[in-house]
Amino acid sequence: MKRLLLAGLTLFLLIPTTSQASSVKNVYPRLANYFLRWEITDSEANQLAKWDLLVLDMEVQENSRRELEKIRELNPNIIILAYITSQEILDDAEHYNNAYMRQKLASRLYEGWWLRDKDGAKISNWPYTSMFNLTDGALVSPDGKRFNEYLPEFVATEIKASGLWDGVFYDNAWGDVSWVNAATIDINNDGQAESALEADSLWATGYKKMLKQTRDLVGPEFIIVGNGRVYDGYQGLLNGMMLESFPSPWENGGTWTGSMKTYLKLPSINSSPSLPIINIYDKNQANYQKVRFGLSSTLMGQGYFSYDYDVANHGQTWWYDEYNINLGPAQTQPYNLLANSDQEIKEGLWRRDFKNGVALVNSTNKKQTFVLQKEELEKIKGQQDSKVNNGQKINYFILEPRDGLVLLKTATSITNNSFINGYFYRVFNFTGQQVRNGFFAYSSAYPGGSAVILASGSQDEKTSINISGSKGWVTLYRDGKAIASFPPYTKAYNKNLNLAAHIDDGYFKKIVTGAAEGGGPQVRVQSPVGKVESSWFAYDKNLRGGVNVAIADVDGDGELEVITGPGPGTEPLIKIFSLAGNYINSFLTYDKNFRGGVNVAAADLNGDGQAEIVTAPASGGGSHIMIFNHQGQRLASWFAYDAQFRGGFEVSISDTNGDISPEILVGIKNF
Amino acid sequence: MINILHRYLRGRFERYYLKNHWHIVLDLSLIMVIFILAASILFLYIYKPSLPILDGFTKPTVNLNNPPLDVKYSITDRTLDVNESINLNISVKNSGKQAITDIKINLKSKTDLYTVSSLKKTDETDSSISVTGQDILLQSVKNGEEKNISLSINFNRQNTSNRVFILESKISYLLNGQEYQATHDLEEIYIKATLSANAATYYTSPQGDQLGIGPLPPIVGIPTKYWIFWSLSPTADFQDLSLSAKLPVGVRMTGEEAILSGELSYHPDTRLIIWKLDKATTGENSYAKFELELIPQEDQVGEVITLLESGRIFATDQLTGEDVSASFSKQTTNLDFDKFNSGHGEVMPQ
Repeated sequence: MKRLLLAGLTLFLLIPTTSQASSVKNVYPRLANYFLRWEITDSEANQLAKWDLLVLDMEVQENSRRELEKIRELNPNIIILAYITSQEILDDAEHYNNAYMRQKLASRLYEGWWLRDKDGAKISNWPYTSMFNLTDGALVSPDGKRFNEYLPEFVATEIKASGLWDGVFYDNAWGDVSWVNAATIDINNDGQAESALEADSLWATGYKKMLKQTRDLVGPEFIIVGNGRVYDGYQGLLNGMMLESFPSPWENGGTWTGSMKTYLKLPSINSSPSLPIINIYDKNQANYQKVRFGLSSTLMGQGYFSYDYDVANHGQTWWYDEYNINLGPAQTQPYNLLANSDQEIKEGLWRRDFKNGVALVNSTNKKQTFVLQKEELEKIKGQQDSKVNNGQKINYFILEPRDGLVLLKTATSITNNSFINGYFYRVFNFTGQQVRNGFFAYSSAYPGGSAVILASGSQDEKTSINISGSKGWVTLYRDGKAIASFPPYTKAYNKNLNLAAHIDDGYFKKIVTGAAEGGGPQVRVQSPVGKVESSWFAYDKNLRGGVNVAIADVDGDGELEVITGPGPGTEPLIKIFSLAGNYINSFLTYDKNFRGGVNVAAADLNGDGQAEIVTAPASGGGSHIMIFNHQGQRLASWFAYDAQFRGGFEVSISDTNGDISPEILVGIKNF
Repeated sequence: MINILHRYLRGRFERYYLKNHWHIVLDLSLIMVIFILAASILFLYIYKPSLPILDGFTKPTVNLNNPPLDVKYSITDRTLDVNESINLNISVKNSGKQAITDIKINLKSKTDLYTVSSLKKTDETDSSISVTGQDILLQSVKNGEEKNISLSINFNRQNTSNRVFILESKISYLLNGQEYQATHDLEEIYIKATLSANAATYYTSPQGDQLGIGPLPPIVGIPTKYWIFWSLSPTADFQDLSLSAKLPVGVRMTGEEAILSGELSYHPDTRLIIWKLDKATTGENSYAKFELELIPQEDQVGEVITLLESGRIFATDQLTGEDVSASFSKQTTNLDFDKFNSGHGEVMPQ
C-alpha cells in the first residue's frame, strides 16, 4: 500500500507542474549567491537577479513570494534552489513569525525521528537546533514513515510543488555522523551507542535512502545539491555539492589541491546537469584577492562561485568587477603553467582558456611571474581593485601567492558594423565609460582608409563575406580575397563610400551605400550582389558632402529603417527613412549652425527592441557623441576624446567582448 | 550737298564738256594724279620707310617688332630652395645703328606671392653697370655692342604654398632722345618642395590610450611592444614616395599595423621597413602605424635601445619632376614624443 501511495505520489509529481525548467548556461563565470535570509526585499530581488544560481532559504517562498517571482522575471534563466537543512531543525521554529516552512516541517515530526545519544538526549550540531536521525534506525511514525522518507515528501509536496524552485539545496549532506558526538550516538534507539564506524555506515545508508527517495519523488529534472564534505556514495543522486569555505578544511585534506580534486571530479560522478558550487566567505567585502582566488579556482572547473560574509551569515549581494565579465564558453581544460606535461592537480600556476579570455590562479605560496608567449591579454577595467584590474593590455603577469586573475582577450576587430580600416577606436558603453582598451581596427586585406564591414555569425569565419567601399566600388571578400565588385553609383564616382549593412548570422541581407565627401547625398539600398532595390537623395541633391548611413530597426516594428547623417556643408539633420526611401522622421543632432557633417550608427544598445541612433561630428567639432531614440529624444551624450580635439570622428557599434550587448566605438584617424 | 555737287557738275558739263571733249579727259587725268599723290603720302605716313634721302629730315624710329636693344635673360638654376638666391644673367645687345643710352632694367615679382628683396651684381668688372634697389642701370650700349650682367637676386615668399615665382623685367632706354619701354616675363622659377616625414614612437597615445604592451622601462627577457607612427604632411604634391628605416638586430616587427594609405613592407635581408605611396598631395596627411617588439638582452641593461634607425624618405616632386630626399630621426626606447612615458628607456634587469 505504501509503495502504491509512493508510486502515486511520484506519478503526481512527475506530471509537469509550474516548477521551473533549469538550464545551465554555457558561458563563464557562473555565479552563485548563497543567500540565506528568510525574507528578501524588493531591492535585494533586483540585485539577486544578476546571479546565475541562487540558494535561497525555503521560507522565501512564503515570506517573499513576490520578490522570488520578480527575480525570475528579471532573469528567466536563473537557477533557484530552496535551502533546507537536511539533518536538523530549529528547536523553537514555532516562535518565529516568518518560519512558516519550518513550522510546517516541524508540525508533522515524530518524536522517534530525533538523533539521540545513548542517554536519550537530542544531539545538536548547531546552536538552537536538534538533529534528525536520517537512518533506518529512526523509529517509524504512526503513519508508517521515518524521517528519511518524510523529508523527501516535504520537499516534493511543499517545495517543488510550489512551482517556485528549480531544485533543493540540502545543507549538511554528510557522509558520516560520528564526528558530531563521538562514540555516544544511539543510532537505533536501543539505549546503546553505536561504534563510530557503525554509526557512520548506518548514517550514510540512511542519508542515501533519503536522497534516493527525494530523487524518486522530484524526478530527474529537479536539481538536488548538497553541502558538506563530499561523500562519493551520494553523488550519483545529486547534481552537485557546495564546497563551503573553500578550500574547505574538512574536504580532502583541507588543502587547495584536495578541494580542487574533489571539485573537478564532481561533474563526472554527479547527475546531470552538474552544478558544483565553491563558496568562500570573508568578513572583509573588499578582500579582492580572496575573491579572485576563489573565482579563478572555480573557473578551473564548471562550477558556480559564491562569495559572502561568514558561515553564520550568508546573505550578501556583494558584486565584483570580475562578475561583469563574459568569458564565454570554456575552450580548454585547466593546465599548469609550471608543469610541462604533468597535469595532475597540485599547487601550481593554473590557467584555463575561454572564448573571450583566460582565468589564472596561483595556488602556490610564492609570487609567480609568467611571460606570455606571443600572446596578449587585457586586464579587466575595474572599479574596485584598480591596481590589479587596471584595464592594461599585458604580455606578462605577476601573481601573488593565493591569488587569481581573470583576463580578457584583446579586442582587435569590429564586426557587423562599418568601420574605417586603419582608424583607432575607443570602446564605450552606453553612458560613455571606456569599458576596455582602444585598438587600431585594421586588416591589410582591405584598402586602408576605406569603410569595411566584417560579417560575423555562427559560420566559419573563413567562409564569411566581408565588404569594403573604396574608389567608388563596393568589393566583396571571402577569406580576405576579393571575389566580386560593383559600383553603386556611376563609374565616374571614384571616391570612398559610406557603408551600412543588415547582417543575419554572418550573411549580408542588405547593403546601404552613401557617397563620401565630394559626392551627392544619394542613398542606395542594394542586395548583396549589387541589385539596386531603392535609391534616393537624403538631402539637397546639389550638396557635395556625401551622406553617412546606418541601417537598423529603430522603432521596433520588425522593419528595418535607414538612418542618414549629412556630410559637411549643411545643418546636422538626422533623417530616418524606410528601406524604400520614404521619409519617416528627422531631428537635429547638434546646433543647427554646425556644418561639419554627422556620422551615424544604429543598434539596440539597451535591449529594448528598438535600435538607438548614435551620432558623432564628422569634422570640425569636438568628440561629442549623442545617443537618440527614433523620435529624436536624446538618451545620452558624452565626449569620447579630449574635448578640444577636432579631428573628426567615426562611430560604430559592435560587440567587442562577446557579452551580446554591443559597445559604442568611436574612431579617429590620428591622435 | 548732293544737289550742290550735281549743279556744279551739270554746269561744267554744259559749259565745257559738251563744247570740247578734251576738257573731260583733262579733268579725269587731274583727278587721277591727285588720287595717286594722296595714296603715296598715306603710304609714306604709315610705313615710314628708311629712305637715305630722308635721313637728314626725320627722327630715327624703332621697329617695335624687332627693337634694337636685344635683351636676353638666363637663369642658372630654375629650381631653388626658398632661401637660395637666383643667379640671373642678362645679356644686353644693341643691334641697332645708334647708341642706346640710359638703360634701366627693373626686376620685380610678377605676383604679390613673392617679393624681390635685393639685387646684387656678381661681376664688378664693368663699372658702367650699376644696381640701385631693384634697378639695373647701364649708361649706354653702342650700336653693335653687347654687355653681360650677372646678378644674384634674393627673394621672399609670402605666406603661401605657391611654388612658382616669375620675375618681371621692365626695361626703359633712350634712343636719339626718345624713351622706349618694354616688359618681359622671365622663365618660371620653381621653389623646391620641402619633403619631410615625422616619426614618433609611442607606448601610450597622445590622448592616453595604451598602445604598447609589456614592461616599461623594458626588462631583460620580457617583450615590450611599441607603436611607431610615421606621418607625412606634404606642403607640395609628390609622387612615388618611399619612406624607409632600418630595424636594428634584436627588434622585430610584430605584424600589427594600421596603414591608411600606401603599402608597408618589411625586407628581412636588408632589415628595412618600407612604406610606399603613389602620391602625397598638399594638405592631405598620410599615416602609417606599426608595432615593434623588443626583447632586451642581459648585456643591454642600462642602455637606451634604438628601435629604428637610418630613416630616409625619397619622392619625386610632381611640379618639377626632381627627385628629393630627406632623413628623419632614429627612434629609441626613450620615447621622446610619448608624454606619458618619455625617458623610461633604459633596460632594467629582470
